[in-house]
Amino acid sequence: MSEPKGYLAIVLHAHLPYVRHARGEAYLEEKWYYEALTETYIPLYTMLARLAAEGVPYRLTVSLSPTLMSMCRDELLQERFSEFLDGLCRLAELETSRTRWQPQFCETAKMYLERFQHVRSVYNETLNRDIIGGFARLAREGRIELITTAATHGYLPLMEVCPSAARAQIIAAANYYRSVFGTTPKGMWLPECGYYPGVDAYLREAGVRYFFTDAHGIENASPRPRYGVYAPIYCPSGVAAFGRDMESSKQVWSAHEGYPGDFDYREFYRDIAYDLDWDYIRPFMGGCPARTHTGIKYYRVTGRTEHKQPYVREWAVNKAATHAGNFVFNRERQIEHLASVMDTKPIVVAPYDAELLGHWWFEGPEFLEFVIRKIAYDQNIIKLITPVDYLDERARAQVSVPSMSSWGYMGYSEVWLADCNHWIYPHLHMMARRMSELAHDYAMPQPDLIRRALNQAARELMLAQSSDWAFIMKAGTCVDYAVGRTKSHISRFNRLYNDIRSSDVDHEWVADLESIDNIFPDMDYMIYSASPMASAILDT
Amino acid sequence: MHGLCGEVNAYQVPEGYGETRIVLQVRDPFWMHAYWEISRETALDLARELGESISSSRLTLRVNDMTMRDEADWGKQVAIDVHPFANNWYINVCKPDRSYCVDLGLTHSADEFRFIARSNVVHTPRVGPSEVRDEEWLSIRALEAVARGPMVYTASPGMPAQRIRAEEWAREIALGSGGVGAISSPVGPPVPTRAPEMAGRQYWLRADAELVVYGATEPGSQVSVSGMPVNMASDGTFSVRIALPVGELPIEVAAESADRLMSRHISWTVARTGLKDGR
Repeated sequence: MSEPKGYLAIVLHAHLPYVRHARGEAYLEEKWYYEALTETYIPLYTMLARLAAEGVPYRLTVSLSPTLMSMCRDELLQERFSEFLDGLCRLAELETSRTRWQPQFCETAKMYLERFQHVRSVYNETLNRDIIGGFARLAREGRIELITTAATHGYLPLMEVCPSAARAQIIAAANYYRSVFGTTPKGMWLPECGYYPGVDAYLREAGVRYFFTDAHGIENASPRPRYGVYAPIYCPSGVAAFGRDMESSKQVWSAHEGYPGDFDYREFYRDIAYDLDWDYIRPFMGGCPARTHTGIKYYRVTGRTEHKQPYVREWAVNKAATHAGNFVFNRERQIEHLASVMDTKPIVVAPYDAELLGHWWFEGPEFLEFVIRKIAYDQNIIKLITPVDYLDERARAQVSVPSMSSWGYMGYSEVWLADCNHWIYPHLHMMARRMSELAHDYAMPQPDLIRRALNQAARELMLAQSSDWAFIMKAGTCVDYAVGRTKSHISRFNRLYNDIRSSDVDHEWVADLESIDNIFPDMDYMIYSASPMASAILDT
Repeated sequence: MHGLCGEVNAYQVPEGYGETRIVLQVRDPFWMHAYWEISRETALDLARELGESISSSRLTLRVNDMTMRDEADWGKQVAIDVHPFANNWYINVCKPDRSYCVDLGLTHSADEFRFIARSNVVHTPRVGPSEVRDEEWLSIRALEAVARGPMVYTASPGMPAQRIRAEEWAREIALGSGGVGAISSPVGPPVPTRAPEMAGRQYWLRADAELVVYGATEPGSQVSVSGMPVNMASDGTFSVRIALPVGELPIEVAAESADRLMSRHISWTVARTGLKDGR
């Protein structure tokens, strides 16, 4: 291959909040995780492993959140997911039988049965239930660069008033990554692309070399970046910032202008769970008393109509190939243009939520596979790259401070700071301050029980900080769950705090919490102790 | 103490933390959010100090412009009277890329301001590209070798500024954020309500039918329904659910004994007539 004119960095950010319910048997939210594994993570892994086995050259960046990795490595959830897959395969079998006289659906039913059986065998046999290990293998083979995000996906701009909490989210994430992969993450995905000037110092402290912002984070940086989002800038802390390219983003993201809304693609909302007899569906609802998605959907988008037409797999796959061709063509033209006006090789950064591919956009993994193959074999203008490869190729970079930004609605914090969710911040900020005080006051080695209570308090704080809860409160579905989760962690933290302060820690209760909110077994509350930057404003 | 962790919805959170304070956060270039708490002690002190006039006093936020680079506006102050029982407020500011802090206090007789607490200082993001065009370029090796601590900038090598814009995205943001007027707070903390959507209401009905073919034979037999093998329960009963489209559907139930020496067939036809698709 001749020298490329520029680079494309595709970044897939995989994240789910920690929704493990050790005692619950019917938590709807645990199904989010099972669905994402079935529809996104395992199909993506399978596709990437297949390309690697075929020797197709590619480089891709995959961000795995610590909460997601923790769930993937949890034995209880591994067992439950395996049972979930058995149920799904049973349902798909019933469906191939039930639709025998509906040829328009029967082929699709058979496709689901094959897919689910394949996912089951990949999960149980190929991966030995260790999907993280699968991705780690791809990373070792030089196919993907694995990065991570803040510990519980806390939205950092709204932690600016309690810097020790923002710092702890980053340090704990890097520590967890090291405990899983044995190395320091080279990059970090800032939750929701939420950046505020100064937070990069903690990335630096954690040994992280780069992060991403939304386009305006770089475009509005100061001094003005010469190449806009098409070359990284360096924060004064020595960490590189890459900006999201809006053009490639929109084509994939947008439900209306983008590819996923194409009429041939599978319709997400028309699930058999809502169409079929309750007695038939109920055994597959995981004990939930209401209808929820099964993952079996027989219709295509069809158009802006309620009268959906049956899904035709062949049309959908052909469309994914066409769209991949269009995507690559547009990137070629974009990079040709950029290369003609830049005196350095441009990099186009295209980040997506991993769950978009497969879960929301069913044909997304096929689209990505076509994109990778076309870039590898059909052209020589662009090359896939990871951010670190790009940095390692460069000699010099511009120094500039990105602007506060996020990739949420309107580009700032209004999703996570709104009438419906702003009540959480007085608690989150007070908890963060109290946690720092505890780390300061209990800096000397503590008796086992006190130490465990302190570590558990840090876990409760972090779990309460997941950006997902505020997001769900704003989005308006499953609000009760998000409110309940937030309150449970606030209340557990406050009781731990009072018990520690009054030297009256209940051993059984702490053990109970450790088994329920069991994320980050190696948590060390001392990450909340003062850092050079942590002159907490709230301490006045 | 056991069992406290069970139900996610059984939790209470404190109304406050018994501490007088005000905290300011940035929402976007044109909006900030302040929340505060006035402790019981502070409230009692205020009541003692202000006496009768406290009943006619107003809870006030004073928004202070703390932007250092701009001497003309530095220290400029705008007062917002808020609802006496409010504990948070969204504050609209007309200029982005500035520093602010907020003082919480009571405005009592003769417009006197009794200070209660001062917030942290925040800086709102700029809208649009920076006016600063002095480029700083450094070697990546040097940049990444920076130890923790402040970064020393070197002089810019003075290359011609040449900028490539992705899209006019920032402009859209600026337009959409409603940045008009002086400092004011048109938005209190209202409770979102939704009017019932009676206009354009649609009535709908969906119905369909399925067929259940069931039966029993000797345990261990092979049973098929219209050519497809059927799973049998250990007691020899079986049940198959089949979608029932419009048309004539031949049902053939076949059973063969475990030793394959005996077999039985039962068949019939089911017909469904009427509208297609159940609509």
